[in-house]
Amino acid sequence: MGAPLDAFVNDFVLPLLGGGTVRLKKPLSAQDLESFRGDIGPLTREDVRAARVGCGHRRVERPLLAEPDVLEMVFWMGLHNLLFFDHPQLGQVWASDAKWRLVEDTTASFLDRAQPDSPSQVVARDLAMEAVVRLLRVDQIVETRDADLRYFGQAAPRGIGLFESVAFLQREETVNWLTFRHSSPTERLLPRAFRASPLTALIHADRATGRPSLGPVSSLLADPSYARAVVYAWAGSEHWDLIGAAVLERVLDDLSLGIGSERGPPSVEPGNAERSPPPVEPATEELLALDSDDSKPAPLVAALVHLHILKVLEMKTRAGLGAPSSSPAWKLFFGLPLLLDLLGPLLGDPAIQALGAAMEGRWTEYRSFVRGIVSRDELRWMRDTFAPALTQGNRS
Amino acid sequence: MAQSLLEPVAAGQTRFRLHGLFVDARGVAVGREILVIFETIDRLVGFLGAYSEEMSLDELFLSMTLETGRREGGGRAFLLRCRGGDSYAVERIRRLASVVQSVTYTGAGSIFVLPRDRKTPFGFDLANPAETVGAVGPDDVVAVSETYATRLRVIDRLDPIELVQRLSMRPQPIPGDKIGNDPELCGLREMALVLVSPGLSSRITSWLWRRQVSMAGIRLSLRDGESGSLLLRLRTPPGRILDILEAIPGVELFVPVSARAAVQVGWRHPIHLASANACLPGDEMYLFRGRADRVERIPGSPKFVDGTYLVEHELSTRPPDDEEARLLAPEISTVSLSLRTTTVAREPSGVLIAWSQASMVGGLLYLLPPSVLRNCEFVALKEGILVLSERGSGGSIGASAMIPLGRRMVEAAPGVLVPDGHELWPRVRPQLVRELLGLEAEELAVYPDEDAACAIRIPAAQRMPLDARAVRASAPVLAEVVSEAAVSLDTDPTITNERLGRFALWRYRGEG
Repeated sequence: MGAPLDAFVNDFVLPLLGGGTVRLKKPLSAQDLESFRGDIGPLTREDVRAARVGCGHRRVERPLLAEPDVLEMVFWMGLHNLLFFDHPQLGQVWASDAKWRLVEDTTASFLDRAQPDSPSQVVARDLAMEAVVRLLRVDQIVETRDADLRYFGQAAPRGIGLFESVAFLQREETVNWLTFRHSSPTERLLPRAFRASPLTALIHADRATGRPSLGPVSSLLADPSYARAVVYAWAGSEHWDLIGAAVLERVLDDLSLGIGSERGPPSVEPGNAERSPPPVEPATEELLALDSDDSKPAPLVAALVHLHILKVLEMKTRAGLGAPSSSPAWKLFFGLPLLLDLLGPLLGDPAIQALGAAMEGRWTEYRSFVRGIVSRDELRWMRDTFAPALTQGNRS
Repeated sequence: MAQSLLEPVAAGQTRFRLHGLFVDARGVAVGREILVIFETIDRLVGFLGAYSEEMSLDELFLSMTLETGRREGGGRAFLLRCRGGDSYAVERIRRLASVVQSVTYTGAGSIFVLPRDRKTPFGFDLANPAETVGAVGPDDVVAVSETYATRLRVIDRLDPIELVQRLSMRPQPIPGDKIGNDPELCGLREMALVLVSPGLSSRITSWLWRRQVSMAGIRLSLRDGESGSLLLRLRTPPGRILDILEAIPGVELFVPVSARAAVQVGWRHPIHLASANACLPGDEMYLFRGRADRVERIPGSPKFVDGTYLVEHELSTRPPDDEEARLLAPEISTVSLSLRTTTVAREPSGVLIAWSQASMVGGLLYLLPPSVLRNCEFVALKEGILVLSERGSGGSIGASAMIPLGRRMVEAAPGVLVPDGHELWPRVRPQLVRELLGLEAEELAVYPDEDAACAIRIPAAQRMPLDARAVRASAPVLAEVVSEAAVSLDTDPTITNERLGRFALWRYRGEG
């Protein structure tokens, strides 16, 4: 069964890792997995290993990379099918609804099986999922008098220019696969893919769907190089504040202090603040509950504080009106710099003084600025409830 | 009842307990300075926005300082101080400050009192001598109202220009969801600026060209290492075109709000920028991008190039006509310039080397000394290779005299070369020769041989340094970086959906 596996690695895994063109033909089945099982030889090939290490270097200088195993192969297969569900010609395939459900269930099974249980496996999943996050697609768009025809990752038919209704414009548009709209099965499967790659979900917290467990990834963040990589990736995003809010919301959930819960933060605006936490699918509820025991969210909170410091260093903290979000988590995220005196022993000293007097002045100014964002009740809640819970959660 | 700290000023009163108060033309007691205390920076920004709608911020910025102060009892406030002058200025600032729930004071130095109101038409003065307010340090500001005195210590100073540039843009809905539905086209009726990302620029310009939209453009590099985005200026653009452009990802429309600032359509800056030229220092142009939340600074005033030159043209496949490239000397009505032999000896200014000897031109580089070689120029003509040099001066020998190849050329008039031993006939004034040949300032004309009917015009752009032309370009070999990866990691992967057969799921089976 070496040849089909070789073809799969050559046509899918290697281009995805190395920046080539991924061509999708047909979905992979459990039978294919049966035939691959035990044979991960192509994944240990020298070129694949070099591509994996190269991708790992995108994050840190010395990637903590697990050797390829069967579960990684299963994850690659799941990603293959995930991408396949966005194929524009699925409607033309002669297959029953039951057959399509079977393909979706098989893909979900692939993705669920690939849950990492060690930091090195988290890094290995991140290689694959980050490639999907970066995946591009070149669409052909033909503007007609009636409508715009978009050919998803395909060339427009040659004869389309002959039709009278084609008016004036034919162009190409390169889109990011992840951020573009998806088919319904892909939308259902994407959260599972992100759950299997918690590091990717953490870095792209504004785009990631699903609620990955923070256990393995928070122990990975204890490694300073990965913590730095994550924070710099957040800081590079335009929506760094929304990412910070999303991550903090996950931390609050892990500490059983979720927004809207009994012990959650006070709601300042009665009309808006009532927001139930996003739903968690029953299939993974149990899994999350198990992982949350190991979760020590302090490294995550330290990373969020470091994000504030980076943005102050960059002078990208925009003062002014018109807060982009009024969600409670967004405001609490801006309250984190005000807790440094309490959380210093737990999170460590960010050593602002070492950055010079100018930076210290900017940091003081920034703290006074964020004081205007967080209400007095919210700040009191963070000091009285959140900080002790975080300290307690890290000890347990 | 607590004793009032202020007392009303009486009509005609000219002496005051608070130093710095004086009576203006209306008889109202005002100070040299105005102080406004804002509780939050939001209110400060709101005040500046409201002020800029009515008055020019440039005048305010001339005398304004912004400071952060700490209250004596805790808490912070933002202090705006500016020149007072008269009660009209005080009332205008007081009216705008009250809109954002902030209090205005008038005074001088460190102590300020409330300005006049309806009950006290001539203003306020301190009820007790200024010393009773307490010791006032150099960084202290005391704002006295009727019942209490607020003491603030200045701890930091804000740069108003930096503050204005760091403000976030606010979304502003487009009327009727489409620019074309707005009679004023969202301010784009006269002119629109369009920022096009690098990958789209050629398509957008071609498309606008086909639609006969009057445009001009300039290339900008918005970030280091990024290829140039295109900034287009459209004159009286149709609303339909603007709607299409607005909907294209990678294309952003900007409304010019002043000579040096433009704001993205659908967004609004908190400050009315047209009245705030001082906020935009230097001669840069500022693009306020709302969606990207960035301010782009374009160095210098942008010099737009007409749209004709932005559109990519296909090259003509017609072979170039050599004769057309030469400009014929204009004929004089009766006689024309011609060559005739002469015995007058002249220092050669160039050498015309036949193409059969072209392979030997490279050897000249070894022959000529560096100081001479530096001034040699090279022109490739149909008749041969023309090597131009400066004539020797001060007893030195020019390059052309040293070159042992080809035919020597001498100057019959400034910039007009003829074969050695010949001159132009009739002997008209040298400057007139250039005019007759229609030569521009830096152009040369050459008569390649004595039988030539007309001169060959050589534009300055066709001349190049001899050493640069004769030495073969040595392209360095790209360093072979030993990489472990078999494929490039710099590019993002791309997905291609291949044609799917109708039997793609044939024999697809689940587990077990």
